[in-house]
Amino acid sequence: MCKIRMGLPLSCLFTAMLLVLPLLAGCSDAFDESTESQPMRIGSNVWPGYEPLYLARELGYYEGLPISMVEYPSASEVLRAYRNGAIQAAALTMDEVLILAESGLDPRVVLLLDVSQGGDVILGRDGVQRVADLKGRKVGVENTALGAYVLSRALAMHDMQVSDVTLVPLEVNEHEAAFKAGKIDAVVTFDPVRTRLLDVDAQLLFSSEDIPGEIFDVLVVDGEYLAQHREVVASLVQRWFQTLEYQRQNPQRAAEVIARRQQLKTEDYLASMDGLKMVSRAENIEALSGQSPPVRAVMERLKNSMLQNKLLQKNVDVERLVDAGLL
Amino acid sequence: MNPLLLLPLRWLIPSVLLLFSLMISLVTLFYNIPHAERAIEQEGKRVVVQMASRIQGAINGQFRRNAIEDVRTEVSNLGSDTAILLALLIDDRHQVMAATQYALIGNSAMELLNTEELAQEAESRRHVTGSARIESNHDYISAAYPVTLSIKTGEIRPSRVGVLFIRYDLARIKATTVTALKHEAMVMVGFICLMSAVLWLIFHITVTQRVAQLVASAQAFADGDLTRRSGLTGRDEIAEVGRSFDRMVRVIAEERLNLGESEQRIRAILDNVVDGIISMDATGTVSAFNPAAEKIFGYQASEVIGRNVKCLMPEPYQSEHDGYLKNYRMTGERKIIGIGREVEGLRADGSQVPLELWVVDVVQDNEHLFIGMLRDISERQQVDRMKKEFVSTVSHELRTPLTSIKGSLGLVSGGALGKIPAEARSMVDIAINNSDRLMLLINDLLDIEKIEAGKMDFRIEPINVMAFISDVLSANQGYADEQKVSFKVTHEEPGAMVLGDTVRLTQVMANLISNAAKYSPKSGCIEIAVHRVNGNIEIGVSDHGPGIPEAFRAHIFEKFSQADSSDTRRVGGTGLGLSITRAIIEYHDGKIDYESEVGVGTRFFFQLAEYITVKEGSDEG
Repeated sequence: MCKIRMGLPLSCLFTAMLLVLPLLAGCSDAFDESTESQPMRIGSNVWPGYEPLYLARELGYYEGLPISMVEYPSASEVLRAYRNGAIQAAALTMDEVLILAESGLDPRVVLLLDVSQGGDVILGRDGVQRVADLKGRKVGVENTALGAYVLSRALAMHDMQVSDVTLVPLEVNEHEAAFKAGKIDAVVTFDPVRTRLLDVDAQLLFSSEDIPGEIFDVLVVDGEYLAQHREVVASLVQRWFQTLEYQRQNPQRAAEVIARRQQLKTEDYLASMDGLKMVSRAENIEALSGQSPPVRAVMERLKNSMLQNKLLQKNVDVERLVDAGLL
Repeated sequence: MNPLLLLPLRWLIPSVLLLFSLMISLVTLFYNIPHAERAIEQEGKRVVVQMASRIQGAINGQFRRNAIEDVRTEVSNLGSDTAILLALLIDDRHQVMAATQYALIGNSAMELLNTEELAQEAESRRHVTGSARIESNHDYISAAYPVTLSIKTGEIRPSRVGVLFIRYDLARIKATTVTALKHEAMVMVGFICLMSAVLWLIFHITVTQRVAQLVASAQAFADGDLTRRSGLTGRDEIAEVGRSFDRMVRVIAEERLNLGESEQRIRAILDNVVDGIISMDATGTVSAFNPAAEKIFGYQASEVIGRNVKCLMPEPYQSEHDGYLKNYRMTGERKIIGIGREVEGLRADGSQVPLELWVVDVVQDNEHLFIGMLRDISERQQVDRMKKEFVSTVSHELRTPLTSIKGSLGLVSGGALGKIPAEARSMVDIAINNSDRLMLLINDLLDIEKIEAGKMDFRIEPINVMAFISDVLSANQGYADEQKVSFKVTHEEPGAMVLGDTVRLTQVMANLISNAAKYSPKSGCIEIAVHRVNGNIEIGVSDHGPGIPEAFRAHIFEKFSQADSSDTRRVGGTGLGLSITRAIIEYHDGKIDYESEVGVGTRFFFQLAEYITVKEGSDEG
């Protein structure tokens, strides 16, 4: 009799359990998606033109937004992180963006940050006064990033071949030490290393002033991420201009904050700012918008130059690289 | 009630616990284990991505510095992690440059990797992107991360891309975790099983055993053992119930003792009462039979109790008795119940015995209990019979000579023997009057005897009541003149009909009228009224005499009764008239009664069922 009576309550409990189990199983699905809801990670190396990104963080402009800055020692590391999917957005020079595009990746330029006007340089030791003096010398260069372009343009402008110099591949964080230790005779570098080396009597051989408009920095976002989180990227763009406005109104305060990150004296930082020009919202709109935006012509020239110097092996479709919709 | 509550507690609580443990195991199997496996995969992937990108960066730097041996060391170091099944550095010609196993160096990657892995490796090389992927069988993670190999002479940007390939084991970590989870669940289940057993034991001791004790006491109580007590002690609810139960049993035992004494007293009364007392239920089954009843019927009580009461009845009552009871139950119409009756009883030896029977119906808890009280009246009947025979004999024997006396006196009075002297005339008249009275008395006595013996003949026919009254009044007009009273019909019901014997009903009317005349004052008026009452025809005869004292009501219709014996001489009469009248009316299934107020008058009335004749052409039918 007991067994018969037990039948009912047991089956009731079983039913209840069977109803509960799918709910538990449902919970586990959320597990996989947790990575999806991570913030947008933006990677950059140290360069005065990228500083407003960090100033905005300092000012609390990213609060409430899923935005996280990731700091790398060199552009090569930023590129590697971008390629590995560790970051979804990056501050890069345009030539680097073209190399990413050559690999079949899908970077989208959403913002012009700055144009280099002397910030990128080739510096020489005592006795190396001109580009021509580099012949047979050891040249330290970050050949997996912008350095390759600057060196190839400098050599080309002085009718020299790559084989005329001895390449010493060094990432930017290694430049200062290698130069000071005398391991190299010249170095292809940029601020803030430029300012620090000029302080120790390095000779300026070549600068981005010699190739105006060719070296400029952009913010790229992975195409797939942009499609899914357009509003986040739009907020970032908005904050960028907000920060530029802050910088314009509070130059001293902004300079102090930035100089600390650049490991420069404030006046040195302010001096280094002469080597580049920030791009305003109006200039951004002018350069990026329209049926055939002016920036595309610049990118075409850059691409051809890179193809010529074997920095690019394949042609790249520059048209799809620009997304001006967030300005 | 919820069937869940029907389980004994000692089973219910442990089974619920066991169900919990079952749920824990099921949750472990269907939820925790897959969840943990997924967590391991996610964590494994995170670890592999971290590790591979770190090594990728290191190898890039080593190639930049042309430190090839450092690259080999870096890859070899991966072998110290037991989770890494295989780590290879594949150059741009698909040759293994460095590996966790030296034997693999120089081999083609094509031989070492499966199709999926080769596709992953090629993808990594083409886009210069790193990726980690969980194998389709979820046993390991494969990671392919591009590395920049040494620069070729004459180029600025290094174009040679190698691939760092890692197989990261998941199966072993998963197995370890699953084993740990299962072990944990089993420990939990074991613990709960143990707890269930302990709980079972606790409930068995504190609840089941004690409840069983209580149940045993209750059953003993139900079986009539009033001395048994549960004897439960403690401060819990069951002890409380036990103590209440014991108290209840004690109170009931005391009450039963009192009841027993009271019952003994009642039994003593029943046993010693002169009348026979029989009780029975609604179906007629006898439940009590006292010694007096034993004596009357010649049965032992034990022989009758449990049998149907009809065994005490002669035919035809024996066969019809069930019908009576059924009828009574259905309609409440009484044949005997509540009415004293003289009946015949059937004794054990088959002889019949006349009984006076009185039955009462007691309703107890919606059950009918009939109690019959009987008295043997055979002796009384014997006496009655002897009396009747005596009266009959005497009457007959008196009538014969009286007839001769009356005849002779008639002849004398008629002058057949010549003119009688005036002195003799009054004497002769007195003789004639008294012989007439004597004749009347004898006729009444004979009527009574006939009625009681059931020998009176009736000729029933339809009677028109108003015509009948008219006839009766004219027939008695002479008597009325003699008594100096007058008649007056105060209410009529024209067309009223009854069924009856005209001669006998005339006798009834004559009786009532002569009574009224006798008690009326001089020149009084006797009022006759006919009414329809509830489908009956009521005929009333009223006088304005002294009335009948209420104390006499019980005896008025009995034989030889007159309200005041001192009256007898003044008004005359046999004292049998009303008795005969009642017998005649009862024979007609009618009812006779009177109402009287001392000093105002008396009204006698009888009711007979109205006879409805169906007239030709009426709308009936």
